[in-house]
Amino acid sequence: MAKRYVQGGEYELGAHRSLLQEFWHNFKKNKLSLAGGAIVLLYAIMAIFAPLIAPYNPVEQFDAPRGMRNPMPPLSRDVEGRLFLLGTDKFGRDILSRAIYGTRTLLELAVGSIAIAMVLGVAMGAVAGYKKGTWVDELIMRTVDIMLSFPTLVLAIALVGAFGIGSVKLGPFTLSNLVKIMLVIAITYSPRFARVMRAVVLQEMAEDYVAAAKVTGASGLRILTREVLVNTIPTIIVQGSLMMATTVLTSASLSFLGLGLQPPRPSLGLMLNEARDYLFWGAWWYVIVPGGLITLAILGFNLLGDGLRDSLDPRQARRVRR
Amino acid sequence: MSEVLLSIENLVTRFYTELGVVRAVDGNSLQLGEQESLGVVGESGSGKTVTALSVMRLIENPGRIEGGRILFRGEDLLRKTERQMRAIRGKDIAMVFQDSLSSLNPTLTIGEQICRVLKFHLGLSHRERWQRAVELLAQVGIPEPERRVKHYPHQFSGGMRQRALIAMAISCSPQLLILDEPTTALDVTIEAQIFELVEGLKQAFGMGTFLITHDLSVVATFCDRVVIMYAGKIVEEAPVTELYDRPLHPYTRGLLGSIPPLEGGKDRLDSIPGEVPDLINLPPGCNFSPRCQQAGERCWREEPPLEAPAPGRRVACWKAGEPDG
Repeated sequence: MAKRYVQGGEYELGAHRSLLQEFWHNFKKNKLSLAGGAIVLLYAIMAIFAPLIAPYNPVEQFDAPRGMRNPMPPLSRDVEGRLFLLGTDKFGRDILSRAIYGTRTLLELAVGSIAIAMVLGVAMGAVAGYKKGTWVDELIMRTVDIMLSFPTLVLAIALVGAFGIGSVKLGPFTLSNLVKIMLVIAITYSPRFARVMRAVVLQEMAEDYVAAAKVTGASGLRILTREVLVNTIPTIIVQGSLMMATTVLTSASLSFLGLGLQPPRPSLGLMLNEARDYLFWGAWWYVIVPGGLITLAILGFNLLGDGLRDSLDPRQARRVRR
Repeated sequence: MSEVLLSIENLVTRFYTELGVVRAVDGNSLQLGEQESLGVVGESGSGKTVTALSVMRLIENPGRIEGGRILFRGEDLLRKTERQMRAIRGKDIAMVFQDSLSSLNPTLTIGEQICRVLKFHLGLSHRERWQRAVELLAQVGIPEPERRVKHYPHQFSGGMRQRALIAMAISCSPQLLILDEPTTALDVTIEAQIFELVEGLKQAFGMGTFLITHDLSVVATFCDRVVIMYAGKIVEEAPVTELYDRPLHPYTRGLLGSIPPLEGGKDRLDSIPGEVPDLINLPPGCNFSPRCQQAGERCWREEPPLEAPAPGRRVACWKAGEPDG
């Protein structure tokens, strides 16, 4: 890189990159994380444009031609000659269309619950870190400890049990089933964000720039909101993307157990559950499509998360590893 | 001496650690006149920085300021509320730290960081603040300030960052500038430039400066008066020239002896034997006695008081001024 000599004998690097360019420069070096990014992008496109991509209505049932019965294998046709690329399920619904719509709901769930979990967790962790050593800190962190002592899925099942299956009436509001599941997953994951957030806040509060800000007369709260929070963003983003993979799994597991999305809504977890009965009848496509999509999504989010961790800030690599 | 700007009286700052009580600053008094340059010299852990942070009232748990008064323009800073102190920090008293990279927020541009200080203390409109930030950068000798103001700390070199920090410190025209080893992380040529800059700003703004360093040669060129600290106590104070001509405390003589002479002549530099005492378990008598070659019976038993053998001079030693043994 060209060094340019300037007044005072001090030199500077010729090219200045913005933080975003810096990030991209580091990120693209790792081919695996690029692949993860591509997978996630593909899923996002599939989810957003589901109605355009899906060949059929995901809940419409088609009749098998004479001599065949549902579920039909890939590339078979129904009575009227419609082609099913990935076959049909036990009710004669197009698996490809259901998988595409199922991906959509899965991503909605994952993104939504991570967003809520992040907001909850960041707020808890920031307050706990800022009020370090006080009863507020103790209260928050002990609650977090209690929640973390349950395995995630068990806690999620317990919460669904408490809320009930299906939509929930909360006073004047009615939570749709989807939003309820989002909340359940968000609550189970928020303690993890809280812990990470508290640690990062404590770490950042000990940095010299915080002391330097105090010296300029800034108050503690101002330092927390204006100086420290910006510096926690990379860690939280990384934590979020890594956690995304596990929320995908949790929401699929809930559906599989019949505690998540309810039929006939297309859901990859539910499809897996239904496919279980046909596994030994040779209906391999019935299992592989939803199972493969879930696996690939988890892989994609994990690779992306790892890549983000390494490129957002090299220092973070040591910090976030779980 | 001109008007007194800062007067520290019997300051006691202690840290209550699990291992015991650390007497970081142990009953020290010193004064700084308006537009005067005071150098505070000592080894690591001698209480220089804690003294400065006490003035700023930024001693944090488990540390506590236990006694004394800190008069700034006649007002006791130890009696101010936290809110009043916030209005003073950065405006009337500014401080520059040693490590310029970690003292700047890595996620904000230099301009944003300067503007925050300006906004907090002076108000001003958004445009005025940016304009002022550019002016300040120009004032501390940063080339192309219009472009530089939008850069992040990591895009600056060490010397430039220190300049930017100084720009931030002087942004509200403080009357007292505390410099905590401002050039330790820099090389010697940049060090000279930084001190030249601070000297110029001192004249322009009429600031008093409180320079913390462990480098006596820096003090010689930059300061009017020197305070030597050892293990939390002031052991000697003198105008710069007198200190070099006639050091009274054996510790000061030891420090001066460890500076290489310009003409050469010595093959080996003198060093002070032993180590800085543990601040939790200070030795009885004079703190320096275990390392002092002149120490006698009395030094082991009784702590020497800080006395004034001549106007403007203070020394805490039973054998002050006695020639080396």
